[in-house]
Amino acid sequence: MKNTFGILKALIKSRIRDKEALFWTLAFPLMFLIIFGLAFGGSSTSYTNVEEENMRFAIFLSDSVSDQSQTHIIETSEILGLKPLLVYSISDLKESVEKGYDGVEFGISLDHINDIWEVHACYNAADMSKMQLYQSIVNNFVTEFQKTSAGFDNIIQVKTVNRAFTAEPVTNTGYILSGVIAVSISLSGLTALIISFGYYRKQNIIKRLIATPLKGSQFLTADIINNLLVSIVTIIIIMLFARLLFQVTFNINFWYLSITYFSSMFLMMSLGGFFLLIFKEPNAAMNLANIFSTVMMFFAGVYFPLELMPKWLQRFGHILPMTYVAENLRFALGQDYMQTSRFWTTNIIFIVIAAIAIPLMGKQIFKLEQS
Amino acid sequence: MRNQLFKSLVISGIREKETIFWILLFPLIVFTIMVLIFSNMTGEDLTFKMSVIDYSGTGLGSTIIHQVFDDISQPKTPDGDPLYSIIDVKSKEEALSLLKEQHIDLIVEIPEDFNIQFNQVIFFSKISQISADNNPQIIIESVPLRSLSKLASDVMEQILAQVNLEAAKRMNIKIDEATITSEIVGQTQNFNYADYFFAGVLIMAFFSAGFFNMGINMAHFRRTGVFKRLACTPIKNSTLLFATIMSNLVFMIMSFILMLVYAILFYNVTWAVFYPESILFMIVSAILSLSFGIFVGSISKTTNAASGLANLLFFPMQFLGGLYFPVFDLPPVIRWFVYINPITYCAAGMRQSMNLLDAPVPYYTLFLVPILWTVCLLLISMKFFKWDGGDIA
Repeated sequence: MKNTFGILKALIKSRIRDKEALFWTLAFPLMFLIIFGLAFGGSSTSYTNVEEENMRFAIFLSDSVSDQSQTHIIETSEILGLKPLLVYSISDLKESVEKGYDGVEFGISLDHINDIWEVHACYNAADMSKMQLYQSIVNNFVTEFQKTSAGFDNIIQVKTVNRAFTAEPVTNTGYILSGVIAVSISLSGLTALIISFGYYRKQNIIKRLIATPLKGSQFLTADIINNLLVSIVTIIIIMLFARLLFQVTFNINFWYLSITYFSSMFLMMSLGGFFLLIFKEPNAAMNLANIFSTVMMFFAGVYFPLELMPKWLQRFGHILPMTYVAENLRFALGQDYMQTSRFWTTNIIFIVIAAIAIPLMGKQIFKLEQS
Repeated sequence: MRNQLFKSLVISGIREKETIFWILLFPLIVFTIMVLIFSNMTGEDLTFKMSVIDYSGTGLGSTIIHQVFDDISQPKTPDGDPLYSIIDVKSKEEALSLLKEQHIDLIVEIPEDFNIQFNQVIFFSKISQISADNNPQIIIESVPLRSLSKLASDVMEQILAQVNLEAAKRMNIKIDEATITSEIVGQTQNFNYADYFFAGVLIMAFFSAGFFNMGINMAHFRRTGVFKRLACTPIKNSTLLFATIMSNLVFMIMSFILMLVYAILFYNVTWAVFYPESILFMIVSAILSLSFGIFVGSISKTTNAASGLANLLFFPMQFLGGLYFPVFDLPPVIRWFVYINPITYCAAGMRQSMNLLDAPVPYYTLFLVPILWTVCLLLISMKFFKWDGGDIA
């Protein structure tokens, strides 16, 4: 116990002194939190959930549009929660869309010829990812405008009910930031054994430790505790930042969070250890871990919604462990609902894999050094 | 001597697996991922799952609605999927449970009095004024935080709006027809995600070389005493600096060639990268990235510190520089960073010169901002850099 504690103390000190490791474990997730939180959280630019309210659009009306129709345009915009910005020529319309003047996101020009409304919509090429949304808004606008102009009330009224299935109201930012925490856990876990075992092996530290009465299991335990501690501190800091900067309220279920955290960390550690066993050279293992985590980050539904991707990419996303880490974590942080049976199944699978893999790999690494 | 030094730096870089990975391979991975994600997020093969709860019984209104639902739940092509798949449920509770557990994206509820109110509107609205409150209602329930559920709800609203319009026309209400055409502004040729990301990832590769190869190597040379030892040889400090810069330029060129071959072979990207203006922007980006490298290498005392500083600068700069997604419409609280970030101008200039997207900033700033940054970084580097044997100059 004393030996383990001594090694643990040394490992913690070494981690704090290592600026690069500190960057990857602390600054990197924090930076992602701030960038993605500011860029996509709760604004109209979100990839996952776009708020249409108060969206600004430019509108050009030809001479054929009557004053009464102009009133209908204003009414329609109010109904849809849009803010029109009147421009006086087609070129002004295109320029405001292109340059995004006054927050203009798209443009519409209206002409009324022979009882037909000719609508010409302008979208900015830079907004390709939001084109579908804008097209849908323009379609809605035109349908609503036709009805308003005809003085016709919907025969069938549509009432929308928004459901959340969480104990507390959830924001877009909270949803994304839970994903960022999942990324942080996955990265810490994946690189943990590579950083410690790989680099210590390269520097012959493990060899020297074997020459001492210290047991391999004691070193492994101290190393795992060190990684867990560092990662826990990182998560606490990320959550504090999320609370302070973005006022995100996490409705934490500590029991579920702990299970998710430990199972995910252990699974990712065993994956990292597996990479280390394949490559032996820590740099190569780290590179593979980097490729793997980059792929996971983008295809695990954290930053880009998995459901909007084609079926084959969705299937690919579902074989990546980070997808399940993110799902479990959103559930544990009260940001989304998932079936309890699904939660337990994924966590048990993670733990079983890790329980078998980590001791085996630790043994293998020490064996390599002894031989 | 200069050539030998340059050659040995290039060879030593090629032997470094890290260099090969980050400068040559990593950009290809990022490029592939980005193109795969964005090119495929068209929503063309989207399928929504919904449950319909009909409390209204048999009647004209519900029959029309069910006809619409039957229509949208048929595959558009023989081997295609329908827009909506209808999942049968016995009760609202069951439907809510399915929605909660993400087995369906949407619940559509037709209330009990739907048919009665529908008939009133259709048959009696011409005789007496009927308040809109008494119009038949359909309830749509979704989970807006889940993208697919939100989209399913939006599309359903549009479908029902069209049903309303059709119904109005059949009731002889005069509604002017509308035609919608569209145009994409701010581009001079057909937009293509592969071209868009090619320009972005190319700049990312250049800056990776500058920050990580140039910057960290400079700190490493000083830390390991290479500079000190070379100072005892007839090699001039300026020769070493020149060779380091040239070797990094070689890596950038290698990265460019590899990216270009890969992108042309697999993604058919445009050759516009060879327009004189595009080449000019590549040169500006390369010089700027080297300046950042020199800056990092000059002010960092250790390799670890250089690596930390390079990461700290490079990550926000690349994500908020428009390399991967548009940044000019970000919230004001973060937009200032976009405008002071030189990568923003390199990326915007590169895309404009390749006729992909017009830059939303004045043309002269596309050169001015990166040049100003280069000058400032080099001045700071000259002030702080030490060989342990003399200054750069």
